[in-house]
Amino acid sequence: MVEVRNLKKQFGSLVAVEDVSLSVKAGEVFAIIGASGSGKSTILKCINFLEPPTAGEIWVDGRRVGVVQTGGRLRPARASELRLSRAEIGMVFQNFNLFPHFTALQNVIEAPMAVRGLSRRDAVDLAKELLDRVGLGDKFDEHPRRLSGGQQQRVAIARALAMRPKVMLMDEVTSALDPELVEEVLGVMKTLARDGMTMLVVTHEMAFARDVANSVVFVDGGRVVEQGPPSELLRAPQEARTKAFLQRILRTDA
Amino acid sequence: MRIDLLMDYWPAIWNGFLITVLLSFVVLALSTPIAFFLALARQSQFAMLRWPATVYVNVFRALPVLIVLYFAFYALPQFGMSLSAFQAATAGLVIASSAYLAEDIRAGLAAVDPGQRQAATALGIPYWRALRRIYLPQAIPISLPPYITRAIIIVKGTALASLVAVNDLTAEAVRAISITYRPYEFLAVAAALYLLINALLAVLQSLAERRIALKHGRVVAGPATVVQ
Repeated sequence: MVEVRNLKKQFGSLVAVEDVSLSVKAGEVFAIIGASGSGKSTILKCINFLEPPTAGEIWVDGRRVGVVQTGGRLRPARASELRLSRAEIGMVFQNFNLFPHFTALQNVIEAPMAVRGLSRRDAVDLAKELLDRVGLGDKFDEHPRRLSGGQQQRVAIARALAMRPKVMLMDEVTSALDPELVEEVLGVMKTLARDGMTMLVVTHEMAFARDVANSVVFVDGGRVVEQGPPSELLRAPQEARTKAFLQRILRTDA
Repeated sequence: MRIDLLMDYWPAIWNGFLITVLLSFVVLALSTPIAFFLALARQSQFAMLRWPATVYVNVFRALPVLIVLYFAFYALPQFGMSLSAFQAATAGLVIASSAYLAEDIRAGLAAVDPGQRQAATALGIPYWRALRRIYLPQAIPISLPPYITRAIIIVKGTALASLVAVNDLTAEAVRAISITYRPYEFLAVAAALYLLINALLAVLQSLAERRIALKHGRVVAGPATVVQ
């Protein structure tokens, strides 16, 4: 479903991501772990071209993102073409990034109406169903500032789902939450996983990676250090750097 | 106080007042959209838009408005462009005002959390729609107070038009003084009339801020007063 080939991202002289290749199958939950500054969020942002890659290829659902082939030639995608690719890729951010002047419902209906051309009525029906699904059936008309962090993040998930994406990118979605609110967001993500949503999840929640992910990749210094099923990578890491990272994380967890 | 003198010159003063109101209105109505596009251009990812806008703003922000006015009135005819006094004053004031207003509008846009742009982009919302529905509604409340302050400065600045032969409020007051030698009466009347226009702007600001606060479901602290 998602193929990342030899991805490289450079900011000026700083190489944030180097030679990263990932392969995510449909319905898979793919966890990316690593220290902050290791480049894991940048990998996600390259997948939907929020950060255009310096080099490498991104494929989502059999289509190249950001590059279009016409005749035998490759050219950069136009803004309108990029929008269509992005519409297939849902993204949820660490800081929610809800539209503060919109209610929960308005946050969810905006993109389906603007991008998918849904009528207001259809968009509202869809949004209510999705907000129900994330447990916010009673918060349709609340503005973000009246919602807790966990509730805001669940609205953000519903907003991304409203585009009927083929894959969801989750960028440290619980990192900005108070500890007691983390579980309600992880719960929604577990439900999504059960329902077969393909997800790339950048996370510090090792328990979530262990219990929900099909595959885990450890990133350090912008490169993939080690990759494997969570039962192997988290329990019996092969690389010294992975071991050191997990020890640090588990100590702070306990 | 010579009320009788005031009465004699009132038709001319009133006429000048109307010209000041008209000039202020035309200048603001033309500068605002220009300033808006300058602000967008200065944020553009395209260097071909960004650079000319940046140069324009920095040049006309740096020049005395009077120099720009004189340029429009005295220098343009040298190049075969003859403008009436009112047109020249309008052109000069619009050029200078749009550079100032652009910065106020840009400051509002720049204050919108970059995460908003990321979210809108990730959802695939087209730029102009995102601008209209998402960025501007958040930028306008931030830009409004400095915008109104600047608008008030611009209204006062229209007095400079009296120096390029526009018969505005200031010109009529000065003419009446030069004939009657009664500066106190006519300056007081002119001051009161300028105050009237700018009080109106302050009221508009208050109303707009209250409307925005209501729309955002926020409680507003109190009416803002910006009269200079």
